[in-house]
Formats: sequence, C-alpha cells, structure tokens
Amino acid sequence: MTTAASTTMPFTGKVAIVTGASRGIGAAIARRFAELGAAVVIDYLSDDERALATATAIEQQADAAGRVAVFKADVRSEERTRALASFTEETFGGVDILVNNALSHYSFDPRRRRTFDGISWDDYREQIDGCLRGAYNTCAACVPRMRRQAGGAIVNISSNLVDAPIVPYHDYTAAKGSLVGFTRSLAQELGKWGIRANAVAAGLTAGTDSSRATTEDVRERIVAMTPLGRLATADDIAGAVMMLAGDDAGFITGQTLHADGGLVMR
Amino acid sequence: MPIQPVSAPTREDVKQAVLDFISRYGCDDAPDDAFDALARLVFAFQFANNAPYRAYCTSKRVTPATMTHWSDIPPMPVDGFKMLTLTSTPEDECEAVFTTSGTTHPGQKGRNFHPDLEVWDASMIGPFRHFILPDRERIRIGVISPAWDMNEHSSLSRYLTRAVECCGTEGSDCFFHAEGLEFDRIERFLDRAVEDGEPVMLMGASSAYWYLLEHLRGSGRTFRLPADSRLFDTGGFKGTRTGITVDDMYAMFADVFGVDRAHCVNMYGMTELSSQIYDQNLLSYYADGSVNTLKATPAWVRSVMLDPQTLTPVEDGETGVIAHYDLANWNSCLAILTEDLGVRSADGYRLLGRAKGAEARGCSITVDEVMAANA
Amino acid sequence: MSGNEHVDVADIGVVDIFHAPAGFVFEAFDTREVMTSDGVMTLQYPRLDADVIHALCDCVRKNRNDHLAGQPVGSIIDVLSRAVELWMDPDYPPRRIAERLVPAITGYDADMTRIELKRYMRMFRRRELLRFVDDELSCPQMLDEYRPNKAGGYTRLYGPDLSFHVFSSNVPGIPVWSMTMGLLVKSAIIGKASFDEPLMPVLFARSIREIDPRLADAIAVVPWKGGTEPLEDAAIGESNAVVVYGSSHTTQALRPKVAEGKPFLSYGARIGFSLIGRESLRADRYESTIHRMALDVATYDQQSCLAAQTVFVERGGMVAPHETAELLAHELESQQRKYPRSTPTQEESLAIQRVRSSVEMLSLFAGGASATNADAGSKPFVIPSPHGTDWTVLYYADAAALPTPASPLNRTITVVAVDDLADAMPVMAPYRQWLQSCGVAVDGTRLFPLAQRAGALGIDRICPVGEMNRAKSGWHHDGGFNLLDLVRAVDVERGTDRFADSFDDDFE
Repeated sequence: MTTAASTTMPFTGKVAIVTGASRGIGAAIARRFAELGAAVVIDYLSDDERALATATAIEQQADAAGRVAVFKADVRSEERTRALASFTEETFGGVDILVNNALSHYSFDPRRRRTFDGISWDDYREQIDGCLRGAYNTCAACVPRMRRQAGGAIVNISSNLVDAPIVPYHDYTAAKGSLVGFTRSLAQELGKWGIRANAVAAGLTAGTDSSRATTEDVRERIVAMTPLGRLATADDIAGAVMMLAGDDAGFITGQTLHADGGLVMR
Repeated sequence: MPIQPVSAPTREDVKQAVLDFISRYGCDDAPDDAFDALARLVFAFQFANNAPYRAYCTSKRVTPATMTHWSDIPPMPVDGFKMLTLTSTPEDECEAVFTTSGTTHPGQKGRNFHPDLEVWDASMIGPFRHFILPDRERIRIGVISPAWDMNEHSSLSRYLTRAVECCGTEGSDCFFHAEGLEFDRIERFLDRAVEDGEPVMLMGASSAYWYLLEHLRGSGRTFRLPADSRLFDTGGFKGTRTGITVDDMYAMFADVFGVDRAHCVNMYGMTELSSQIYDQNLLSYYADGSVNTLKATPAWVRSVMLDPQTLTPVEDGETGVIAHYDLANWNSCLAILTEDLGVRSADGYRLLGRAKGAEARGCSITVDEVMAANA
Repeated sequence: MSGNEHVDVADIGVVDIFHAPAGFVFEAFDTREVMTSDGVMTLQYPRLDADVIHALCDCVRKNRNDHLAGQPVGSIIDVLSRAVELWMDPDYPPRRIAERLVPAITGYDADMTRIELKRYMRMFRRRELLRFVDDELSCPQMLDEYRPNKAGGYTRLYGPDLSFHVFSSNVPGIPVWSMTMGLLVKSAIIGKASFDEPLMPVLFARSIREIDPRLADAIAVVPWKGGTEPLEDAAIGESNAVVVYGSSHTTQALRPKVAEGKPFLSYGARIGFSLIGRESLRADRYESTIHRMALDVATYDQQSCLAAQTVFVERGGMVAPHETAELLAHELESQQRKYPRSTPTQEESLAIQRVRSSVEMLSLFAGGASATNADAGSKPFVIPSPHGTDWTVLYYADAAALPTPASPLNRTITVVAVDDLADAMPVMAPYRQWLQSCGVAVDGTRLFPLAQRAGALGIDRICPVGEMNRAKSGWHHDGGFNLLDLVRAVDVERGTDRFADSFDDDFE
C-alpha cells in the first residue's frame, strides 16, 4: 500500500543520479534525496566497500529500502557514464535529476598550494576532466532521456572560489568556472525542452576530503568574513541542491546559488 | 541492502505460488496483502524475463523497485498481445499458445503463451463450479461452439472441453464440427431434456446462439426446458451488424428455450487472460432467490475501473475503462488494459462495452472512417 | 468606461439562445442551465415541431421578399459591416456575453476564446467583405440587376429565397461566415444551431437587428438536437439551398433529402497537415517554428477543420525531427498552462489512449525507442502529457510507417520524419477527400514549387505554419466559390436587347 508519507514527499516518484556520492557532499546530497522520497543512484569512482556502506546507511537512515542503488562509473569515461544512465533507467525507470558533484581529487591546502608558475597545463586538464568533462559525459547520457520526457533538472556543484578566489587555487577554480559557463549555456538551450540547469557554488565545506588540509587559521579567516559565522556543512550544500532540483525551483534556471553563509553575495 | 543485480523468482516458484493461492482462496476475497504479495512476486518474475513488458513498465516508470502497490503495475494494452511476443518463458518452451480470432486485422492475432496449462485449468474449474453449478456437481451439457479437438489455439475451446470433462453427465456432447452447427442433433438433445425432465446446460459463444436461434425460429420450434436448465454464453456480439442487445437476446432465450433470465449466465473471458469472470445470477438465485447479474471475479483476479483520461482508479459508481489484474496470467502480463468501459457498485460490476460517442463535435473524423475509406 | 452600460452577465440570468423575426410568437419554451464563472445561467429556447419550422420559414421568406430581396448588395455590405463594427468594441454587451458564455458552454479556455473570437470577427469588417465579394464576382452588382457580361449579353445572379444552414459547434463564430454568405446573396436564413455552441449566430443576428431590423427579420436561428428528422425535413423542404457544417455522418444523413438541383454545400471534417522545411529549423529559427507548430495544434483544441493533425518534418536542419517532436511536446505543455484544454468525453479520451498505446506497442516491437543512440530518431515513440490526455506527441521515423494522418484530436499531433518534404505527398494522396489546409515553413525558392505539388493533392489552402486556424477572408472554402455556389445565373443572351429595341416606337 502506498503510505501517506511516500505520496506527499517532494521527490516521490523522481529518480536522481548523484556523481561522486560515496562520501562528503555527494553522500549528503544522496541521503537528502532519499529522505525526501526519491530513488537515488550513487555513482562512485573506485572504493566499492565505502560506496556500499554509504548506500546501506542511507537506506536505513532514510527508510528508503529499495530506493537506493550503487553503480561504479568513472564519469570521465563516456562508456561508463552511458552504462550509469542505462543502469538507472533499467532499475528505476528513468532519470529526472542529475547532480554533477564528482571531481578529480583536490586538496584545499593553503600552505602547500602551488602558485601559477608551479602548475602546468596538465594540472588544469586534470581538473577540467574531472569536473567539466564528467558533467559533459553525464549530460550527454542523461539529457536525451530527459528531453523525451519533457522535463528534468541538472544541478552542478561549483565553488564560491569562482566569484571570490580568496585563495587562488588556479586549476580547480578554472575548472569550476568553466562548469558555470557550461551550466548557463545548457540552461539557455534546454529550457525549451523543459530541462533546467543550475549550479550551487559551495563555500569551503567542513568534513570533506578536499577541506581536510585547510588549516585552522585559514578556516577562522573565512569564518570571520562569513555573515552567518561558520563554515558550510555537507548538509548545507545538499539543502541548496534540493531546492534547485525540486518543483519549487520550477521557474529557475541558469542560476548559480551561493551556499556559503553569505561570504559571496551575487 | 542497496540495489544490486537480483535474481528474480524462478518459474517453478511463481507457478507454485499461484497454484497455492488459487487453492487457498478460491472464489472468496483474498486479503489485500496476500494479493499484493503474490502480485509482486509475479511482477518481479515477468519484469526480469518478459522483455517487451519490462520495457513498457520502465517507460511508465514502474519497476519492482519503485512500485508500492499492485495497482501501480502498468496494465499492458490488449493490442500489445498482437504485436509483441509477451512471455517470460521462451516460446519454444511453451506447451500452448492461445490466439484471438483476429477479425479486424487478419494476420495479426493476439497471442497468450502458456508454458503449461496447469494454472489455466486450475483457475478455470473452481470458479466454473462456483458460479455455474452452485446447485449440483454435474449437469448434461450441450456445447454449440468448437471444442478443444477442433481448435487448440482457442481458450474458449479448451474451456468448453474442460467443462464437459469435469462437470458433464452422460448425454453431454459437442454439436459443432467441421461443417458447422449440427442443428438436428441439437434439437434432439433439447427434445430429450424436455422428455426426461433432466436439466441441461447449453454452452457457447453468443454468436453461436444467434445462429441457433435464427435456425429454430425459422423452423418455428420452441422448447420448454426443465427447471434448473441454464444457458451459458460468452463473447457478446461484435459490432452492431445484428443490432440486437443483450436484453433482446435473453428475451429470445426465454421464448425459444423457456429459460428465465436468472438461469442465463454470461462469462467474460479473453484470450489475453488466464481466468474468467462471471455474472453472479446463478449463484445468487440458488443462494437466496435473487438475480444479481453483476460480474464477480475469483480471489486471484481484480478488475479495476480507470479514468480514461488519467488511467487512475475511479470511484464506485463512476464509469471507467477496465483493467484486469489476473495473477493466473503468470507467464505473460499479470495486468491487462481492455478497451471496455465498466462501472462498479457494491455487489459487483457491469460491463458497458465500447460506448458509441454522442453527437460528436463538428470536425472530427474517426480513425475507423478513414481506414474504411482506404481499405 | 464607454457610454455602454457595463453588462454583468450575472444580472442577466436568462439568455435567449434563439433569434426570430420581430413579432413571431412561439407557443412554449424550454431551458437549460450552464455553469459559468459568474454562477448558473439559464439558456432559453423555443419548443419546436414541424409546424413551427414551416411557420418560421414562411415568415422569414416573406420578410426577405419584402425587404432584403430589393436591397442593393452595397447596402447589405454596409449593414453587415456596421453590425460587425459593433463587435470591435470590447464593451459591446453581446461581445461580453459571448466572452463569458461561449467558454462555459463549449469548455474551451476563456482567454483563448476571447482572442480567437475577436480575431475572427475582424474578418467581416467592411474592407474584408468587399474583398470577399470582389474576389468572386467580377461584377458584384449582378446580384442587383442585369449587368453586361463578357459574352456580349447581360447576367443577373439570383440567390435562394430561403437557405437552411446547419451550424456546427467545434469552432465558435463559424456560423457568421455562412450567414454572411447567405445575406450577401439576399437569401432568408433558417439556421439550426447546435446546443454545444448556440450563441454566436444568435448574437450576430441581434447585432444586425441593431443596424437594420427589417434585415434581421429575414433571419431565424433556433437550436435543436441533430437528427431530429421532422424539423430537418421541414427546413430542407422549405429551402432552396442547404449549407451544412458537420461531420460526414451529418452530411451523409442530410444530402439524400435535398432535391436535385438545389445547391447543397457541405463543410465537413478535414485533415490538416503541415510541412516543415529544414531551413525553418535553423539554429536561430527553430524555436519560433516550434512555437508556431504548437499554435496550429492547440487552438480550439484542434477541433477546427483547419487544424494540423500531422506534421512532416525534414531531416537536415539544426534540430532533427525527433528533437522537433520533443520540443513540440514541451511547447504544448506551455500551451496547456496558458490555455488549458477543454475536457473531452470518455470516448475521446479512450481514442487518445488507444492511439498512444498503438505507438507504444510499435516502439516496443522495434526494440524500445532509444533516446540516446545515434539512431535516436529511427524508431517511433510517444510523448504523453504529464497529466491525463491534455496533449500527445506521436513520432514516426518515416512516412511509410504512418498508419493514418488523421488524429483523434484534442491536441494529439503526429510528427513524421522525412528526408524531403516531397516524400509527404504520396502519403497524403489517398486522403484527398479530407484535405483542405496545409501549413508550410519553407523558404521563398521552395514555396511555389511545393505549392504546385501540394495543390495537386486536393488541398485548397496553403498558409504559414502557426496560422492554420486563421483563414483569411476570400479564401475558396473547400476549393469552391462560396457565393457563386449559392446563386443561379440568368443570362439575357447577346442580341436580345437589340431585338427588344426593334419594338420601340421610336426605333428606326
């Protein structure tokens, strides 16, 4: 029997793919979707055990038995990404929401960051591959399906460093910047198919692999500049994604929503 | 555990579960959760093994993972049985395939595949005894449509043969052979009944009755069949060429055979299903003398009336297009969508057939018109 | 606020949905109720039998003989255009009534109805009527008197003294067209309205009454249920011309009753189609082309005989045909939000479900329509509206696969991919008897060659995609000549005048 809860949740009947979701922000996003009624496919790169553990925990915490799946796919690979989309369709019937969260590993280490001279094009390329190319592959696989159903939502995870690179992580920021342009252009064209594309510009997020190396003094500096007086948590980012992925944002597209406590105001 | 490739139930498990359900619940109402559980099992089996049905359900966003209630399972339109090969068991492993008569599109017959006929037979006999012979074990039966020996691809033919085998007394016979209806032998059968006062039952397609009635009226013969005799028909009149209604037909039965409305029962069946649905009037007559002509289903079949616009269930009393959830259809599709309209009330439901449109708005051309012009 | 009083429909209460000559008395009336946004309105109409019809016919015919028959066509045009001019004022009370009641009765969206009605009535303004008349008659005064003809003699055109019009209900306002035609040829009119839209012909007659009451007395419009034979037989018997709008079922039922030699004009169901050239799917044009395609489908829920039922889309544009189908689906969803579709009957919904599932079956048979491969457009697919049967887009990958170009309507459109628009012609050819409008989106060099080929198919109108539902006045409706079909020409043969002169006393 359908329960009262399952029929009134915002994402009941919707299917979401979240890339890079075995941990950190991705996992928080996946869990939030599951809590709000969606069926979720957790895409991950390599750590089978961790992905399975995360998915199991989400299933239990969100009371989402049967609505959570895991799939191993490196989004930099076109073929694996297509397999991810097919698996999602066969398991859950389609794709409504795509969250591009995966990135090539990056560590926000203010002390050991390399300056412009110290970076080569290969470093840029690696970030662009993980971030933009990954989003390109997933969109290429999912957008045709979304077009056929006359509707869909794409949320790309960017960074507030694009608008305010208080610490200049060149390669990372360039890649995220390109993701923002990609998002807007997609929004412009895909709007006529009922597909929305938006981005969340996350602030430095506590408890993630990327932020582990950010030292206390830099954290404090950031906090001091933040009107809401703290660092982002993964759940904060997930909340912003939920809003943009849902019907409440039904008339919002091409936007970059800053989830950083007000540090950057755009 | 999160979803990983699962092994679907086996053919043997599903078949046994269906047989168990049939024998346990018979013609009572099964509890909702038992029906739901079996529906899920059958659906999981079909989703894993019946490729076109899986693609259809996926396109409707329903998978074993996403369904919450048996009524979520998308009913396969009857048309699908013509164009697609709907089976969870490879064709060459299926003992029997029932086909429709395919009059509108010759060469395109609807096909329902049966790995074996054990479930089909089990689902037939219980309700047949319950609804048609509530008052006795056996009866002398005269069959006026082709039986199994004449057509092994007709579900009706098998039905008629099984009925005679299981429930016919001596003197039961089939009167349709290669040259058609054997009117003389039918008349002798009816004469004998009148003479010896033993109740009899005629069984056949509605169209067969039409021919029989025409013949008898032509020869001016009428009969007063003994009390408790009954007439069983199925299929209805396709199209309006005869112009007669169901009520007209029952009136003619009374005239020609002396059988009252209470003893005329219609069976609603389809090649695309594995079960049959009955009018309740014989049952109600022998229970308390009432004549309830509404339709009822056995425990493993549920008929749902759907709003033609949204294909979601309507309230009792509202007209809807009928979808049958037949768990005995364990190999092909457990849910089918007909093109018939129906309306349900507390004691059963009524079939309205395909209603003709009211004064149509100005400019529409029916597809039929265009096809007819280009035939 | 203009000088006219603000008319609140709620104040009116009872609306007469009939028009009869002044002084004509009906014995009894019946009523029907309709729910509007202002509450329940009562529609009143006379109880009819064959005798009443005969009496009405006699009355309007007599009034026509006394006044309309002697009016010069120029004066008639004058009266009609002044009546139409009243409708150009948004506050004109009958217009306000129409805007409130017609949507309530028909179920069409109120905003859509308001805009379409407004546009439609503008087609009967003076300059359009002049164009209408001049386009067909080399000398319109032939309707008044004998005028020189090209053969050296003289011709006068006589319209029927009484014509019977059977109005349809699918597109509000259409009756104004045939009433106009009838009045221009000086015919009295007995009009049978449909209960599904009884209002516009009555309101138009009232407007005429405001300008020239005696002319309005030559008009009678009453509603009755189609197929009421005694009434139809009476009206047909009395009339010298019959004009029928409706399904082929209606036409077939009535045609045999009309005596040989009496004009019988029928305007029935049609299959509109459009041709989308690849040049209209250029990167900078495709959005507007799709929007226009959607208008051709959504206006009056596709119920007009002018609406598009199938669209042929050429490959080779920046947007492929299957993507065009997808875009069209979303645009129809936008139209649904803007002008929600009326509620169809159960049978109409079932017809849509049937056609959806037959394409779904085809798609499953072909191995499942893949949205993602390079051959994404190679298999049939359906895009159903998210809610109910509000709209439907069906897609076929080639013209040979199309079972029929006829749609069950109510915003159900089929998109067919073709390599070249010429491939559409053989597919449409067998449907000749139903062809009428063809919307095109091609460039200037292709327009006329395409028109040549499409014309041979049996269509009679080519127009821009997006404007299929807005026929321009003077159009040769169904390929015929509207006015000429109604009139009888009488020639005074060459030489007769000279012969007559020879009997003048003064002749030498």
